[in-house]
Amino acid sequence: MQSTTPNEVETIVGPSVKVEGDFNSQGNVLIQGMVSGNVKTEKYLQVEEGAKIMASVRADSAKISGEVQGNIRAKNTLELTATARIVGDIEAKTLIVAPGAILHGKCAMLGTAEVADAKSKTGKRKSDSDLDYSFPRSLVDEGAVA
Amino acid sequence: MYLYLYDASLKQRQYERVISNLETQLTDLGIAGKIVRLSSLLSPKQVISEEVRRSKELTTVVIVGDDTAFTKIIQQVADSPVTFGWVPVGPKTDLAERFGLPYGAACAQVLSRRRVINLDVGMCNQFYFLDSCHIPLSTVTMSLGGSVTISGAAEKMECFIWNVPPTDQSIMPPGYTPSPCDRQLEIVLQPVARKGLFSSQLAPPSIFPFTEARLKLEKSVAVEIDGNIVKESQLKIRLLPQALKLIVNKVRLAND
Repeated sequence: MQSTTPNEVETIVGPSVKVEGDFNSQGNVLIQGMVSGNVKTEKYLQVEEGAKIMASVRADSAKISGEVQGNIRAKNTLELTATARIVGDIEAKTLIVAPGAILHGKCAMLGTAEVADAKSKTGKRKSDSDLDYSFPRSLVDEGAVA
Repeated sequence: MYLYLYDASLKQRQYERVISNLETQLTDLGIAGKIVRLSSLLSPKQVISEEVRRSKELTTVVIVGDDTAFTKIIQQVADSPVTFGWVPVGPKTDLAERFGLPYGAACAQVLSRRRVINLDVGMCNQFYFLDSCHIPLSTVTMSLGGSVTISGAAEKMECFIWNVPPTDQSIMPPGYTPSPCDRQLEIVLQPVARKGLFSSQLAPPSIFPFTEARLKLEKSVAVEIDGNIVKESQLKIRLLPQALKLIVNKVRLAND
């Protein structure tokens, strides 16, 4: 698990810089400014407070303190700090959410058996209504359903 | 076979002794070769291509001169199919020190040991650069690989591209170390947050690795390419990975 900032940042999008277009990187990325386009990195991504990404994000691990308007997929750890604001779906193997983080979207955990089953049966991910939820019997009000 | 290119400035009397000692050392080590004394009328590119054409045994071209002479020659001949050596002689040998090359005759030992490394070379418009490229404060719009456009939100930016780490590393952003062996160049965009009467306050920089970039500047500015100044308003900068074979001393260049 990688929840701290790596020592070597290879790409820095500073606060006074605006990036437009799909941004691909092989190394660690630190975003302090504004990116209008997809961001993809093989390594660690950090979005600092005040930074804004307006498209989807893919990374090995990510720490979000700024705003992301798009889906986020982290192969390993995704950390949302108290100042994070996400408008989009998130997928991660390990998820850390600090109190105060705002998430408007669905959340899915990568690498769990349920997700793998759902994918293997239908060839695509099931929608929420297709998934078999198994709540404890004590919590189900059967009369209300009938 | 070795070809030695002597910079024109070495004709001065103060260098006679250094050159004489160097030639003695080279002869002792059995690596003496043909000497060509460069002048303003003699192009190093022409000399090298002529010598390569004349003798197929020519494998090594050794430049004898200071940083300015070396970078000026390399700007023209970096794509030549030979291994380069460098004997630093002259007033400014800071770049040579970064490659671990000792001054004057002492460098003959390094040449004879022949530790060759392949170095990345940058190309800014038609000029090669080995060390660095600097664009003064201007309004910059940059395109990386044709797919990403980067622009300053409001203020002007100063741009630096370092291939070899500078001697004074405090001028670089913290945590950033360039390497001439990593098969990529990085551009550092340094905006000025507040400009006072006597000093400027620097804003946090941006760093983008690239292999090809196009820069559009608001107006024509004096761009410094390895110490030489050219006035440009549009720049095409690209990387020639591991294009230059250079004999160096045992020295640690970042990531090599």
